[in-house]
Amino acid sequence: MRFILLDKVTELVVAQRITTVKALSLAEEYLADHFATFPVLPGVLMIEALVQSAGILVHVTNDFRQSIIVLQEARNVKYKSFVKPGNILRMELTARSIDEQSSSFLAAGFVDDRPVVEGRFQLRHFNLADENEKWAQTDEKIRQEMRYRARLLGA
Amino acid sequence: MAMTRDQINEKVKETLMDALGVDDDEVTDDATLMGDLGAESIDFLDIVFRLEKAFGIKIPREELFPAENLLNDSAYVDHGKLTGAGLERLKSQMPHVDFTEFEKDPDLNKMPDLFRVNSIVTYIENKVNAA
Repeated sequence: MRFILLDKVTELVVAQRITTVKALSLAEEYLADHFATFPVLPGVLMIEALVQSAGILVHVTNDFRQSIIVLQEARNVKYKSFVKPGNILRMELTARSIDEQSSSFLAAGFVDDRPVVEGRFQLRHFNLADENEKWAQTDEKIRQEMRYRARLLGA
Repeated sequence: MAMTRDQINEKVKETLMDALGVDDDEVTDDATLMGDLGAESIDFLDIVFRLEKAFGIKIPREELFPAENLLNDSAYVDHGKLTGAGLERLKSQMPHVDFTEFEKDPDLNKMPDLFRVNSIVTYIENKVNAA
């Protein structure tokens, strides 16, 4: 399955802030077992959705100079309530810093006014070519895919 | 091997700090695993494993965190609440937890509040001192 855990960017202020939304659908595979009688978005996937959202802001701010953006650390994560099929998870992230190789975010997720999740993330960004020059073409392909995705999401 | 509740409390706290990456002052007796300490499904497996190692006991996962089995069985859940059968089963699997409040309205959204640090300590106390 495609693993894009956000559907739209609703607000973006370069280097500062991004708001995105993700609608939860019963069509998502992992809900079949989580749980059969009570489908809810797994907590780790809330984190993934938030990190992907932060990644879009990093890409736009750094003009896609780094192809790979990964989560380095998640701290003070709290799960306050569930996201259910039919809910729209609204994710609000504030960048505390965005540098070339790393960034730091405060993140929170809501369904309407109801807080769902919050946490602080440290992200790391790099190019595969940093390790080995022969990966430069792969970096470029990834960069193109990320540019395409950001456009698709309305960033 | 008999342990005092304080000794068990200390060890449980350390285990949760390691498993969940939280600080000492966050792991209060009353703290909920999900709401206060940020634990979620994937963490429960890790917590059970670490507690087994820390206390040298076997912990069947459905004894400490029975919710997941219940939630996959439609006999126990109806319209977002536990059925009578579901509530009875949960109570029998978690004798270390106080269900008075939850029973009044066994809403699945409120189930996470049942899982607090002090209920883990009580569970371990029962297990360790029963032997």
